Amino acid sequence: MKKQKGFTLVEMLIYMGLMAGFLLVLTDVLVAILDVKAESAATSSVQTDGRFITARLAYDVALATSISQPATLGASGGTLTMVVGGNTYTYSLNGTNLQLVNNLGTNNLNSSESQVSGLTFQRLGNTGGKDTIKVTYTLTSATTRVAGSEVRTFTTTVGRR
Amino acid sequence: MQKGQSLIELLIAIALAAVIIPGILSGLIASREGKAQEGQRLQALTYLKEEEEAVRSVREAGWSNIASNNTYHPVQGATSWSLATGSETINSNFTRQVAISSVQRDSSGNIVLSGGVIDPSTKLAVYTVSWTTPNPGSVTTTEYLQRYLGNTTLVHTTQADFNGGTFNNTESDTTGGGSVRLSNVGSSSYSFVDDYTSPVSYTYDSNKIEVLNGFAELKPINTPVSGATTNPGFDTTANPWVRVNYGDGVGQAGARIATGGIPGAWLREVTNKNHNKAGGLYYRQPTTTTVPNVTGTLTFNWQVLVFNPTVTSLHLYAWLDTIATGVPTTQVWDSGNIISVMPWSGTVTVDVSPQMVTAGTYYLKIGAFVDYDTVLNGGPFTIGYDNALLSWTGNIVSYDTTSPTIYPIASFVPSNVFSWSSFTATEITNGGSIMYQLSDDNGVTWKYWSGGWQTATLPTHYNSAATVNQFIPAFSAASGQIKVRAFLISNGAQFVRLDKIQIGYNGSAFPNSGDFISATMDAGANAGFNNINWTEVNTANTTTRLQIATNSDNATWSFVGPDGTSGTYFTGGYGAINLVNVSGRYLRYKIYFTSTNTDIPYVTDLSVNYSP
Repeated sequence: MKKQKGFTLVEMLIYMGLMAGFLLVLTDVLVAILDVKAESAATSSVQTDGRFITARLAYDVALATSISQPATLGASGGTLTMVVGGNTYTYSLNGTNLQLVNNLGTNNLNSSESQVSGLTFQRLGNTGGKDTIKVTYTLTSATTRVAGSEVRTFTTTVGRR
Repeated sequence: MQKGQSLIELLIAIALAAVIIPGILSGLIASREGKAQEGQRLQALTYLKEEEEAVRSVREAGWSNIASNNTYHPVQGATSWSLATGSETINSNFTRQVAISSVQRDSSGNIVLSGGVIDPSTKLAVYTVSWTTPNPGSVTTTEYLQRYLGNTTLVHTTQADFNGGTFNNTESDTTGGGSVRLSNVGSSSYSFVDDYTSPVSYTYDSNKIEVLNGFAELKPINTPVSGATTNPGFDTTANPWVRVNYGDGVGQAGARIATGGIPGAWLREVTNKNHNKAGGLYYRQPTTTTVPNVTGTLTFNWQVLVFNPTVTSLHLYAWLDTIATGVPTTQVWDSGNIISVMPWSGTVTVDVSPQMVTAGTYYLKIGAFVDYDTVLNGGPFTIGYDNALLSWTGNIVSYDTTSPTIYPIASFVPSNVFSWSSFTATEITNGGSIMYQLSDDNGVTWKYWSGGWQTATLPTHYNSAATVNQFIPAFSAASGQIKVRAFLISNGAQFVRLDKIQIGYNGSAFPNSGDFISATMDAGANAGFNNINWTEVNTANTTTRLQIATNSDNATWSFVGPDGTSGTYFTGGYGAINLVNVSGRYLRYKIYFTSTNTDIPYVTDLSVNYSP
């Protein structure tokens, strides 16, 4: 009798065992990649918005000719009002958005990917001098990771020139 | 033969895996850490930005706040920023600091790392924020800070500029278009007086000149002279005695009596019995003195031979008058009231020098005066005199006629004399004269004026005080000393006296120092003072030093030098002002001059560079 070729049962078992292990690892890697994507989206949104808001405030305050709110040196509050290029710029929180109201309308400085909270402006400086504005705010990512949202508090100071 | 993987293939596969898997893994780890690092970095940059703004604000408040090189961190105050030394830790993770250091510039003004001059108006600030977790890292920015506004300069260069200040032994001048210098005036008030009080201080012939009671004078040469009345004892005659009656006639009479005197003859004077009358008589004899201030002595004996009361008074008198007749006036002796007969007295001696001050003729008068009772008769009275003599001795004074000289042993050496200015002498010449010679070599040679100050070679090479006064400014002051020889010139009778001489000169006192405090400069606001430059003129004998003072109250002035303390001074025409201790709105500078001789130090121009 001609011997028929084929897999033996043992061979099959070994093969399937190897296959199962391989698939398990592959699934893990896939899940990890998805996690990193969420993580990346969360931190990226916070960092990008934080960078932009800080830069935008520095730019506008540097150009400001006068600051009306906070009204006095040492005063602090959630609203920054100043005159830039003859136009009044007002920064304040509207819900979870940092809004800039000026001659161009009302615009959010943060993206839809992040939320702003704890916004304070404190005016510091020398009488008759160029003021500095100490800015503190917290950014929370809209994207939720496994570990929750990315939350970062920024503290910086921007000054008139 | 059954096919399968060889051992070689297996080894190659393992080796490849060993190379590739670590690479993949490290890439994976780095990407995960990179995310965290990036978050820290962003936060650190916000802190860095804050620090930069804070330092800028602190610099705005005052350049002096960052003038001192050190490591600082910003401190938020109630209304403003300030700097505190050292670094700070934020959120237990970030360390923030700013290191401020000096900046050097070369002669072209370019910033160099070494070999330049420190520019007090520029500072290098290095901001650093570092963190330790998740992995150590840091962000650093470098910034050059300069004063907020451009520099400006206070310049004092005209006399009017300096006149706004306060002078202390200093003065402004037009030299160099206006300058301030150690004072060169006030010397006109200097003078030297030689008043001839100490005889041992002068060289002179003590036989001809004496230094007495503050005078240098010709010494009196005395020739004794004397005289006296004659015939004191009336031995053979009453001549030249002459009798004079005065007052009421009361029978005055007189005569020489040959015996009963002491010894022999005497002079008798009588009055008769009478009442209600008063009269007297005397015998007189002149003698003439030829010099003033003689020593005069009167001697005589007297008696009352007959005395008959009743009488109001009877006196015997001696007079020394300058007129011959009439009522005698200058009484030099009085017997007192006589009430009985009196025997011959002992010798009466009267010093009449006070009455014989001037030279001339004096009449010795010896007599008596009787005041009779108004009702009852008294008298007669008989009195007598004997051995009546007025003698005097004096001196004829004369003075040396060889023009003797006197001069001080030591020259007058004033400190820092520039020139002689005047010569005055207080002289009492009584018709004589005093002449002078000057010496600037301590008497080795003597000079007189004759169209120029020339060495005297003849005895008459001298000048009057007026001439010396006129030309003494031309007398050399190079040796810094002067000696005056006075010639006391008399014809023998003229009493020549030199009270004092006074020499005016232009000089300055030693040690010679003064200072000048400038007018207040108002920078308008708190300013940084960078450096001070000035142009000075000094010699080896003078110094010029400066200090500055600044404040913000325009009232408190404490002058300091380059290290910010009062113990140091700016010298040499340039100084970098220490900013740590010198800040404020107002500035004054103070110039200290010294001179060890007649040299005058100057400052002609001064500028203070400052940054408002």
